[in-house]
Amino acid sequence: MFELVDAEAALDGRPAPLPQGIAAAAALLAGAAAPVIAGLRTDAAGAVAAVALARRLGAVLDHAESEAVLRDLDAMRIGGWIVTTPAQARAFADLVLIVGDPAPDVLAALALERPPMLDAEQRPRRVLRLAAGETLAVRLGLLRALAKRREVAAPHDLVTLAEALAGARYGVVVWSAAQLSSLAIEMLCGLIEDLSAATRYAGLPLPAPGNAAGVAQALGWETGFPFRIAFRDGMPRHDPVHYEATRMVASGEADAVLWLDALGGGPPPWRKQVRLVALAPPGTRFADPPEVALAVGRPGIDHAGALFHPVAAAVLAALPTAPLPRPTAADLLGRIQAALPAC
Amino acid sequence: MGAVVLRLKAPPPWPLDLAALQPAALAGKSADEIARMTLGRVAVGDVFAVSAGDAAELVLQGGSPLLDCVGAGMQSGTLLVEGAVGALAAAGLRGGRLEVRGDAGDHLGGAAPDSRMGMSGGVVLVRGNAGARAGDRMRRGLLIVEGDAGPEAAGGMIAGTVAVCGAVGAAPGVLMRRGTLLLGTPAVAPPPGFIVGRLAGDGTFLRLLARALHAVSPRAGECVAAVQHRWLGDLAALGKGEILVTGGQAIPQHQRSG
Amino acid sequence: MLTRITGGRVIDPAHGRDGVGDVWFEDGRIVPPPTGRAADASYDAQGAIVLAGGIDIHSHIAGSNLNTARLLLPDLRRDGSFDGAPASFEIGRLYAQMGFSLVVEPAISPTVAMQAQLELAAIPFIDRAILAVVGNEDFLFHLMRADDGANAIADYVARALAGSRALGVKCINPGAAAALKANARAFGLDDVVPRWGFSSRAIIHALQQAVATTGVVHPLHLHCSNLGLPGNVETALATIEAAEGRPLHLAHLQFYAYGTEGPRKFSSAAPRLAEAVNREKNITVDVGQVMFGQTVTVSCDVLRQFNGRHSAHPRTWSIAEDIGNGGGVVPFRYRRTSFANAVQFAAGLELFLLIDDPTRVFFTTDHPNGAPFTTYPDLFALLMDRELRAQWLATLPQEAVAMTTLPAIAREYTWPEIAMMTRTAPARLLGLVDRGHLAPGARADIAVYRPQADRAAMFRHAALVFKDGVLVARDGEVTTPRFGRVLHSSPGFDRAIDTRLAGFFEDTYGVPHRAFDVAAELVGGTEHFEVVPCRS
Ligand SMILES: [Zn+2]
Repeated sequence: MFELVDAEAALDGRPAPLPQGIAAAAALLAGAAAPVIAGLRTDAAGAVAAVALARRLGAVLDHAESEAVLRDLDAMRIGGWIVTTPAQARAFADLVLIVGDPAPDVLAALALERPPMLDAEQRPRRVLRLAAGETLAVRLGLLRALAKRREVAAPHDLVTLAEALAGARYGVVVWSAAQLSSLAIEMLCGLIEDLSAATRYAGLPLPAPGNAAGVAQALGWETGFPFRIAFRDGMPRHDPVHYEATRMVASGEADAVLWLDALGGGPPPWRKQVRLVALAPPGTRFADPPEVALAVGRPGIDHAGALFHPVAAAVLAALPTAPLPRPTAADLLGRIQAALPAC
Repeated sequence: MGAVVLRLKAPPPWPLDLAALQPAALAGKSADEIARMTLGRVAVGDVFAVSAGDAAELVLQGGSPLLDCVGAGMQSGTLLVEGAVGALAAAGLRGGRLEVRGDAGDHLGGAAPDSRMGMSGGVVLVRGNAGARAGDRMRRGLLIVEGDAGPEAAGGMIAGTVAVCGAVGAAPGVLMRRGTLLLGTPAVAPPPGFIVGRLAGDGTFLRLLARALHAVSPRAGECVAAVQHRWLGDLAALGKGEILVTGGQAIPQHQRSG
Repeated sequence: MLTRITGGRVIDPAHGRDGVGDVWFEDGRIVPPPTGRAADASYDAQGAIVLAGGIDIHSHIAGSNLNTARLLLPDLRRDGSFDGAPASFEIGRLYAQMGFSLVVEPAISPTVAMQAQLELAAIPFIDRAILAVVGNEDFLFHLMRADDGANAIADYVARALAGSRALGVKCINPGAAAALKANARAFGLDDVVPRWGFSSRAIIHALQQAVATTGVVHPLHLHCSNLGLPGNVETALATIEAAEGRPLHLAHLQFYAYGTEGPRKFSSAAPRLAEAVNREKNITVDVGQVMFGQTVTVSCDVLRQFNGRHSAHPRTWSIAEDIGNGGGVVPFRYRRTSFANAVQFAAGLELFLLIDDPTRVFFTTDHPNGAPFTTYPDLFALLMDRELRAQWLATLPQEAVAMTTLPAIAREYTWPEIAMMTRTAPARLLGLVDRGHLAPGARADIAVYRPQADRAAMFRHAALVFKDGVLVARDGEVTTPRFGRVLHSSPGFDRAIDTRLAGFFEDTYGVPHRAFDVAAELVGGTEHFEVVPCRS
């Protein structure tokens, strides 16, 4: 067990001055045949700097929570979607269908116990729940068939639910992609589409942790693609199957990892020995000391950063709550890039 | 000279994306040129012994579940794999013919990563089993799995024909819009979202289907002959797809391998 | 460094200049020809055309809607034939190559301005600005009901500009996004927002008045209702009338130039619109030309995008509502073989050619809605060459061409008209005194084009492009990236509006209003921004 204490850097677990840590990180990454920048729990500036470094190294970029983000993006790409923001749902939804068990913080921000402030009639909201699980996609399929008013054999609870859903004026369906299969999300988007023929519905896909949505946005404007990007000859290529960091580490394809965790989400999920540069806030515990560990500031706590705001559903400025003079992820990545040997 | 032959020298070190190995693109290339092509971090020559050829025919000798995207995006020519393949074989295939004498992974004939359409033409024959989502969002063409297929076979299918001679996993034909899914394992009740339909009167369609399948796979052709049910769905989607189901005997497990 | 561009035909309509001569600049500004000093660097422009840098007043180059288009269509981007949503860096590169030096992103809701500013900060070479979208948010309707409505709305608009660091005010299908939430599927100029009872017309009036009060130079930039619908020329004409002589900019007018004549009940009504624009001098317009090919429509007209989602090609879309306008992304392919698309193509050109004042018609494709901005070179060539237009028209469905007057129009844009439309006039429309011209004191934003048989090729790759006096592109190759500025207005307002916004936002939306403000330190600091003065 190794804990990054309040030193600027550590090499194989031993405290070192920051310039030495930067130089070691640069040397390690420059010598790798297939480096991966993973974790990516950072602010917009950190994501932009990670893209620049990956472009320079010919590295792969992936986020710790990319699976969930890509599931939502897939559903959008496959059949289109209609979505809204928590802020709008709080102000206007008269019916909320909660699928699975989304994290309570954003649900609390919806103030479901109150009538929607901007609704004309100010009636209490209807809040309905649908359990996640193996059969969810199939049940949603039946619900869609019922919403389309097709003759289909369906259990009684679904018939009742379909009737309730049809009665909404502005219905909102809430889910967290991490808990659902791709097919279930596709079904939810389809259900919203079907219900929208007669009334108004919108989906509310809740964001994954680690600023995954914000980093996906930043990668979008920087490269045109979300996560799981590889740079070859300076050009980005996107492949959600083959550029998955965890899989690349497990198979041995990746021979060095820069683990970027400025938001304090924890160390890498794998136990595999791979050469590791870790950028993490002090206090992060690793099973084994990374070859290079650099202490990084936390956006929104130690310094200002642009982060996806889960209630506004937008990338907003997060001002520091307790400013500390720690280097930002963008600072450290920029210094590592500057320390790479000239190409 | 004939076909280009790539013999797998050793198991691949990690999952490889073989989409670049298109029969038409390799025809006429020297063995050296082919060996120098890269598959991510490795060169073709690191993994395969190459023998060049001048026809749009590619033979992969030896297989592995780590060989992904075999024949993905293929437009013409023939590709024969004497072994297993990994995920995304024939993904987005548009023409030509792929035969796998072994098992295939997930998304056989499905949509390539990042794409919204599965196979849109051509013929794919898998002698063994297939993983999840075979024929996912397929738009045209013929996909035959002589063994079993995993869950969500022919999911989101738009048109074309998928035949699974063995068993299928959960939710076959889910979100099917149009197209035909043939199941060789007897079943009595339609999956959720499907309703019982009538088999067309004189059986002309089935005879034509049987002939088309028989030419590729006699076993699949025989399945058609045994069809006894026609189910229509998926009512969650457009609902104009059909699942044809045999009423005959299940194929014993031991006959299903390569 | 003193630099001289020698011997080109220098065209600067702002100062009546059109003739062979030199342009001198030093320290990023145009200077008078110096006496007794030799140039440190000299560029030969003999036989070439020398203009100020191009200014695009309406092009969707940033923001979460455009970014959704990127994430929605990775497959189209991969095969390289799709310029609808390039990455930020590419936007700067492609514009610079064409000789543009300023581009305005016209549709950023204040609630998503932070991301838009981050995206602008990633676009190299050119200057950028955003327009802040208002007109569909409940807070505005709430103020419209208040006793001190007019003043409060002006404060609110000024506060929106300050919070989002925007140059001007945009209003997109006012009331319609709010009505869609209440399940309206159509919304015209005199339809009213459910619950609040305000018509689109009333919202436009309130915002025109607010913009005038703030002193922001750019007039209210309006995206009218009924975009894209047959017969919507009546909406555009009624909107022009509703302006009652007050300044108003109508965006992408081509999308409102439709009549209902002919066998398909779809025809070009561009001549009627052009006539109205020629008559009403308070009106400026940009065209929003349609060009053929794959693109993606990106719009805060969420009602229009909701209704149009099923015509998506490929069949996918994102409709994203928010507390104001929200937005929709619907990919679309304009086809030469399509009757409707051919009429749209011709109607746009008719507007360009029939509006006789090049200071009031602006050059846009509403990128990427009518076409990607990478089609600009072809569009310039079409405007300047009647023969080329005839060749294009010959490839279109003739029954569609018959629904337009384009074949009969002989006008060809001249170089001074091109310079006026894309340099002089846009700078004036945006209130920029040191851009869009080549007199001493102006920024040395300069584009040099070398005439050749293929005009489109000439416009695609300007021979020389200078930004703030630095060479940024030469014959289609850009130099080391450098970054221009982001322009914004900074009108004053009564801080009391903050208290009202704070209360409304916390309670209604559960988010503090100030959380939406752009943090300058996260997008390059104050150096990165340039304040465009308001009228006093
Ligand atoms: Zn626009």
